[in-house]
Amino acid sequence: MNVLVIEGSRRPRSDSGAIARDLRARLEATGQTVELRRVPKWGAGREATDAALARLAAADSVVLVAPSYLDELPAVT
Amino acid sequence: MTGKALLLTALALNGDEGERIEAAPLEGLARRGYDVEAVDCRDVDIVPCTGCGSCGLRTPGACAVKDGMQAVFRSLVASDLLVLATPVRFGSYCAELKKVVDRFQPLMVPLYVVRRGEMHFRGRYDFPALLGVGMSADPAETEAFRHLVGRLAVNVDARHAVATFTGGAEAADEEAATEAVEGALAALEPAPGRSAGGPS
Repeated sequence: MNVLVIEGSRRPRSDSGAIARDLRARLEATGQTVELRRVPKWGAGREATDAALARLAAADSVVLVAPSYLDELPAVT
Repeated sequence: MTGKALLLTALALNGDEGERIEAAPLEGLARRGYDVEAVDCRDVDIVPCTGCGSCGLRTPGACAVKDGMQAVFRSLVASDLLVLATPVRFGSYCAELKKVVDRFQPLMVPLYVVRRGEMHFRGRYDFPALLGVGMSADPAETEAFRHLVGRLAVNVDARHAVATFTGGAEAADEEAATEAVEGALAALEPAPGRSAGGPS
């Protein structure tokens, strides 16, 4: 199974990043194919959006790992 | 309750949609006698919060990022009412508007208090009453939006109300939207004050 793990934090060395990397390791240990992407590094604009949508479409499962900002995903996620 | 209202919008790329989401709160606020400052968040240079924590401990109450948010902060704390008007996206605000909401942390003190049985930051200032105005034709999205505005109100310790409308372009739709905003404003008015009401 292809799993796309999206880290939705802008903070360097974020807790979300640590959780996402740990999750990737655990999933890969079970034979899953995992791609870890950090949202801010996806960029903005039509080309970046299309690329992100293509990755989402290619994944069997998507995991969002993000801090809670006022009970919601941050805007960047 | 009348006074100064800060209207934050993040108008969608579609011009018609943008005009409809702004028209209803502007008209509703005018009918209730508010002095309105309207800010389209897409026109202001505001970067997303990095969660650096500076506003809590290193520079208490002051965001380390100096951008358009400083003017928003000044207007917000001087307002009696904060209006968040947005097309509803996946049950939430437009990302450009959420980016502004994400930056509210300097308005809070990094000390926890218990509100409604939950741990939350204590407000640094009296937060204005909160009105969420959402445009969506999807009932599930609308319900999610109402819930999220309510959760924001709990987080910032504000009384709140929500107005939603479908965004139809007919005159009757526009009047219904304005009446929805007026009704939500009226729901905020009877509360005698923050100390008596708390989050609604």
